Amino acid sequence: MDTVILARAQFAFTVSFHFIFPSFSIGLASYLFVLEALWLKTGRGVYANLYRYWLKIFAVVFGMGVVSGLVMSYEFGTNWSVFSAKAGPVVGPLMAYEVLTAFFLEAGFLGVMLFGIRKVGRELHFLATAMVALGTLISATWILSVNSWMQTPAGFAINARGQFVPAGSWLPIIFNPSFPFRLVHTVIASYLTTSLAVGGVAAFHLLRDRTNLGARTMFSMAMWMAALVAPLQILAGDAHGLNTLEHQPAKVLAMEGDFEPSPRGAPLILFGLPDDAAARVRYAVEIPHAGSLILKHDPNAPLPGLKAFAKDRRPPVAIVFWSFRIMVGLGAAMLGLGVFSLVARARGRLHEWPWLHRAAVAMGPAGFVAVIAGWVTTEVGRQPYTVYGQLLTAQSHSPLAAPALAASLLAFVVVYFVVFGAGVLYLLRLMSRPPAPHEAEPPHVPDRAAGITPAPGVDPPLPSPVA
Amino acid sequence: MSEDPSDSGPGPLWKRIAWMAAIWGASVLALGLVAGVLRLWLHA
Repeated sequence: MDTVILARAQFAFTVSFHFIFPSFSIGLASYLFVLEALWLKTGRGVYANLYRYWLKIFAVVFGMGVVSGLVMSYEFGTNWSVFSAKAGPVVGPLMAYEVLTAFFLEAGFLGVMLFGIRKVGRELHFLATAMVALGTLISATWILSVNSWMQTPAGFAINARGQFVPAGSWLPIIFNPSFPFRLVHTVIASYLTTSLAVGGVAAFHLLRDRTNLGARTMFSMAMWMAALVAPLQILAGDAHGLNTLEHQPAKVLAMEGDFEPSPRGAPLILFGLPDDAAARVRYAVEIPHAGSLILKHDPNAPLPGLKAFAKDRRPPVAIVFWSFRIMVGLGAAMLGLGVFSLVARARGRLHEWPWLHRAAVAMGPAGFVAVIAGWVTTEVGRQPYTVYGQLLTAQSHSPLAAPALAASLLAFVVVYFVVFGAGVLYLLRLMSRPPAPHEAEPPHVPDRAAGITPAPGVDPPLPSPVA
Repeated sequence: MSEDPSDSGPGPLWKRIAWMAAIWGASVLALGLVAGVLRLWLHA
């Protein structure tokens, strides 16, 4: 098999595995921050219990994210050494900032979150939680700045050795044209992913015990988040799409399956079978003018077709076309779940409607699938370039032999499925345990007379579950 | 984690800050060791 395809497959495999974890940990860190803030503000034990429940899960997710991420940073050197040599002066420092943030804010303060409450007190512990939440967002900022620069390179010059170097200020590099849109879209995706995962776990436990206060509380929080953030994500995605059309038109045309130019308004192809070789979409089901309406906000606006680009400068259409539809379809389902939860809330049945809980369980993993699909859309849509319009993927890889790449890819697949498979099973086991409203107290809690329940630990009375 | 947020925590502030610095440093060191081991493995 082709060396470039194998190197790409290896990176795609490792980055897809990796991306699952930060897309969860970014949202979970902020959720833990909110839970601890609510606990400090209200003194309600349910928030402390939920904090403990999700902290264990966050620690495992964070650990797997770090390990899978470290592998990728080395992969840049082993498989993509030409890219690293050429683009290193630009992307290297930004990635170093991401690593420094992960080390000194996220990992450092995670230790305090996990082991520090008995030693540092509540204020410093809350500070540590805030630093971890902030660290995840700063990490995301740096890494998405790098990725966005590869999509929409700006502020660079080419030196005598053929390397990309800053042309002056770093600001145009960091704040390149697609960065703000990608950052907002990705961070919202992380929050949405987390809300669906938390909501799915809560719904799973509500289906077994509707009186569990922890499950009720986190289900309500998760459904508020889904209902509020899903529409925001659609708006953010639309803005990101318009930005992509401006800077990477071939990617958007591949997402839409538009091979032919549409001088009087492009249709929206809902489904079909893209055929790259024939440059057409077979069995297309389309809505006339809707494509231009979405992409130009004008039903009659002209749009170019992929045929305007040379064949070897087009992304593989079928992958981009379908991954985009998976992402959008799941986004619509998330919006539907959010609306369903609002209806249930308005009818006073948020915690008592089994069909809502079943839907939430089914949608629990949807965020992960959507972020992977979105990532595939944007990364495959950037092809055939690593640095869009500047450096071809075929010119970016290391001088490796195909058998070596195939063997290491196989090793990665085996090791990842064993190591991370075990990690994911452990996570599912943690999530399958219900959040206990009266977990054992740590030993530093002041002694109380036997038989008396501490006041903050007493949960408020619950309404009787309605059948 | 204590259920009661009004529980002011153990010891004076300087001691709590010292503990925080120590745990923070140990955590960074632990991640550094993981990164080092991975680096050795990939360079092997």
